[in-house]
Amino acid sequence: MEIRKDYLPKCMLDKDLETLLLATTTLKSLLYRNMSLKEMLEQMPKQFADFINDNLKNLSTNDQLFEKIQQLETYFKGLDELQIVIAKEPQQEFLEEIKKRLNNFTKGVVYLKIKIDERLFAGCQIYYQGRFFDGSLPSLINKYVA
Amino acid sequence: MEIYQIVSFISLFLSVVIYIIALKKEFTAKKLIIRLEKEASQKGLIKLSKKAEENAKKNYLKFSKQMSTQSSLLVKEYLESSFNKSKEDLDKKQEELFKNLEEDIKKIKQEKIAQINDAVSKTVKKLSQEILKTEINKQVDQDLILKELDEFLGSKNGN
Repeated sequence: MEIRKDYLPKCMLDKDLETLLLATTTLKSLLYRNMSLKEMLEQMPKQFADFINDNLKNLSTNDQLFEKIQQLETYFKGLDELQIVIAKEPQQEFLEEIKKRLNNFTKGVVYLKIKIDERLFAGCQIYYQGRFFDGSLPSLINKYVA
Repeated sequence: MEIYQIVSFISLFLSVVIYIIALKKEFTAKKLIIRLEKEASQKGLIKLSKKAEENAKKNYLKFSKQMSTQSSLLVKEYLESSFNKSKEDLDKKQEELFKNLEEDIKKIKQEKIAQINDAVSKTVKKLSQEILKTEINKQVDQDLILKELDEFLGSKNGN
């Protein structure tokens, strides 16, 4: 079964992924307790609820739903991780800027992990698909001063 | 007495006198000869001894001159060889000293440079940290991060 990604943002942060994984776990546990899917999805942010709903809407039996949720869970866990290490806690606006850029870049969905390391002072380090880029200030100083 | 007797007698007497005079003359001559001989012999000896002395002096001077020349040559050679040897030894020692000195200087230089570099980098690091913590503009930092992200993503796309 294919996963429909129309409602899924191309870039997800820690908290987004956590929400989705929690949602799938909750869905699996509540599936056999006769709760309606609608009730369950109401508790989630709209975008994710729409995504899950979109993937589950044509499934009728609990087994089918369970299998799909399982598939979604596996998919989330296997997302490509793009880790950005920066010196200071980012503001929401700045995070949105990063997400915008990743949305334009990625063909698939990327899990964006932001880490804070004060020793960088400025700039960032990026890890993605086995590649590492060091654009931190100490590295830039080493590059231009050495 | 007859004349011839008188004459004969006078003649005899004269003869005796002459003989005595002759004897005396002879004796005197002999004495003179002896004296002359003695003097001559003495003169010869003196002359010989003088000559011998002169020769000896000459030889001595010659010998001493030779000796002096030889000994000065020997001394010169000895001095030269010992000077050369000493010079070689000194050169060797000097070379070794210079080598050791150079190595020591190199070592000290490296240590000092390392110490200075270390001190400088520590100071710079400390100062930089202090400055960077307070002075880096948030907007500049964010612009830099976004620019780097664009570069990274751009190169990724290129790949």
